[in-house]
Amino acid sequence: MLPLILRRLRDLVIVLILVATAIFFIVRIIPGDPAIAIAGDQATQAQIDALRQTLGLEAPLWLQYLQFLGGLAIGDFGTSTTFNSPALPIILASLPPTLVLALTATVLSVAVAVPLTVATALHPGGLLARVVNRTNAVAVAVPEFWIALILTLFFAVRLRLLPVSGYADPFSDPLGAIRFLALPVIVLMINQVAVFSLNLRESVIGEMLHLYLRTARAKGLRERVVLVRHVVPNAALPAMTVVGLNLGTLLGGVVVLETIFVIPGLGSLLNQAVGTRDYAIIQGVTIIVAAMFVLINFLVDLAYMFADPKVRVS
Amino acid sequence: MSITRHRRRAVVAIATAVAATLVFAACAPAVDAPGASTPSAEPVQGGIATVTLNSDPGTLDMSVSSLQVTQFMGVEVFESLFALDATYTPRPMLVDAYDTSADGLTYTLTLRQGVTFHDGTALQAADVVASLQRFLATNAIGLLIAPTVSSVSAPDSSTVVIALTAPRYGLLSELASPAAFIMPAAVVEASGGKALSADQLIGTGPYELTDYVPGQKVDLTRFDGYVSRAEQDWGGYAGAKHAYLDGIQYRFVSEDSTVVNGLTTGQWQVSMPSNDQYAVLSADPSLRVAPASGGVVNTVVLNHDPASAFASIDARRALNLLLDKKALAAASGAAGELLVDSGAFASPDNAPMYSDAGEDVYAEHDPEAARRLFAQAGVDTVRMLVPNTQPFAAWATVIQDELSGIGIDVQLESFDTATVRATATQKPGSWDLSLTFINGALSTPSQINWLQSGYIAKYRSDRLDSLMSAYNASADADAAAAAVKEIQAFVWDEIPSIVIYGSHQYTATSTKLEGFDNFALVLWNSWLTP
Repeated sequence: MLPLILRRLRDLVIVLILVATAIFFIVRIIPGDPAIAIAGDQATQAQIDALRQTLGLEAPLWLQYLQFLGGLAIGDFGTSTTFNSPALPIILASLPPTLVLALTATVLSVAVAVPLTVATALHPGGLLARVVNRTNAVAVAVPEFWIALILTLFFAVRLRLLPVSGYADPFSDPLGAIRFLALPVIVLMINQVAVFSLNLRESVIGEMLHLYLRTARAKGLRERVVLVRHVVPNAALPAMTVVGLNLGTLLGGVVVLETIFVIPGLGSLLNQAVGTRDYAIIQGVTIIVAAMFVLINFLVDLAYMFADPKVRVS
Repeated sequence: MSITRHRRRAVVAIATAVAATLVFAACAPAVDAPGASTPSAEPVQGGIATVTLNSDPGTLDMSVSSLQVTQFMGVEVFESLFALDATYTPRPMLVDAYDTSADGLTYTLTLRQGVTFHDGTALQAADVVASLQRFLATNAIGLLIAPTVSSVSAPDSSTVVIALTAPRYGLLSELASPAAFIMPAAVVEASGGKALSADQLIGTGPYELTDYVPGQKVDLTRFDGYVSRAEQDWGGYAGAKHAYLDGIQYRFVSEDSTVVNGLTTGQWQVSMPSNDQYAVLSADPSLRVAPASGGVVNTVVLNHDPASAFASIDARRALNLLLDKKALAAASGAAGELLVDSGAFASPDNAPMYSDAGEDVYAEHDPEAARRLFAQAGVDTVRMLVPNTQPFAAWATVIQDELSGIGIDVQLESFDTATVRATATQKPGSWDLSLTFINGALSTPSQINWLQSGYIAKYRSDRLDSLMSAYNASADADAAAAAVKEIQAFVWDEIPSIVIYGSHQYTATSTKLEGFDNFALVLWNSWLTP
């Protein structure tokens, strides 16, 4: 276990240095700089020049890069040029809404997708299986923003059951958080349940072809027990990778949904930072998202080890 | 899986989507005729108004940021020495009385007594001196004034003296800019030239900052120590300010449908939605929809770099003849009542800056004559460098089509605003034409950026310089109006850039909000009915 953790930590450092270097130069390749974005398009060139000087944008690129790496080493992500304050607290303040949204949607999606898939696998030709299979195809095909707009129109505007948009902290205002999160979570679940269910179904079908199940059945186990005890745990391994990748993507910020539902998460922050060329925020969000992605992959690997003795031994 | 099954699934998906759209569309609120509102006669103290803005400017510092959203919030917190009234005339705000020397070179300002900042400290002349010096060093208008200011001094704690090197008729209007706001001298010192951070947003306005969550919200609450002026009828940014509302909440909402849904359900009371939503919102009886004051002047910016096609006056005149201004206005999607069919560089409601001189040239439209003039100028290619947002993208399409229609080859590059600005600056000879709009509520002609030699268009003219000098030397409003008329006539004679039309944004407000007069998003003197 320890060597694995050390290897992963080493990988994390390498990935973060590569990501930090790449994003540092990528944002500076894009024309336009923070001075133009802050001053606004009505500003004169003299005003922009004065601001560039103040923001330290005139320093040589190599010096800015070294200062950036040096800052990272001591946990300093730089100063946001838009908000004129340290970038890290701003990024960390945007992290909880994204975490809450992504984790809630993922946990609930798994909770719905697994029993649904098991039920359909038990009766592959049944009514439930036919409905789920067709619904999954629709749910994967329909874009999330469309579902979001339609659900908002119905539940928020017409029925006035839920707020149109907003966010509340689930720890200080749990009821408010449920009301605000209901629509975005449902929108994410519609797609995720379908994706998880389709993947798990493929795995289950593949697993059902293995010969060891004949032994299980020969022991006199009922089909339901064979499925739940033997098939699903083995079929869950590939699905876990899909869940992990999906969660990583959601943690990177659900830009469109965060914009539609006015959720102050990482996606909204990054979207705005790109428009205002806020280098410190863009770099910081990218690095933190990359770190989370590596961490999630690590957790998926650990989960593999616990779930599959073969992985543990190898 | 067979192709047939794929196709069947796709058909099912599309059919379900269409059916669901129809079902939910049927559930949408019915559109009724607008109902007449009954204004409540007496202002009501209390309540919190929620306002949506399309982006977070990151600061309320109007000196550093020229963005409109910065100003919408900033004017509630900060005040200047003077303020523009509803007719865009400068009126004293933090100044009690002022005196101008006979030669027009010295302004002696006496500050109002009893004015305090939000941190409880009293307004002193030293605060004004520090704030003005920062304004002169950082702001676009300040940088225009700076060369003519020889000193700003404070002979005593309530007197400020501004000494000029040459008369400047528009000085009071320029000092009435919200960007020339006054803050404590200690804040000026701490900020350097950077945008003020949240803890430095200390002004003298009727509302003070209580919370600023970047990218999410700005909350203002009534400043109980505010001392209002007495004048009730000046309007605009000037005169008496009554903070009837307990607070103002600004929420940053960029998605148009979310803005509209929030207005409809009462989640917020004030918004400036896009043109696309005007008809729907106008039909909602729970809302009032009206054009905002001032408006913007939409402009085709012409590059005067020697490598540009429009360095030639024939080419500039040709383009003016070619452009169908009505088609460009229609392409924006704005309702007719939001459009101003005028080539003036100021909004018609901005009386001191508006002139109809040259409207006949603005109205010209003759593509065949344009083709001949372009040929005469030797122009067969036009390079467009335009922002990729609306309405610029729509205008670009129309202009591209019109140029192509007379055989001009068009090279169109479209980027976000920051990229356009950077490209235009760093590669000055790489483009011929761009698009922008300017504030129709400008207070001096020198604020028109495309007439400034430092702007990306790089326009310079001795004649224009002398006209601007004549404006600055004006002795009174009549002389200034005559000078404005001459500058406007010159603009349509020389065509440094081309005004294509004027337009107004509009506000959509809840019928529960009373006292709101559509001057920017000013919310003092407004109140919420139960």
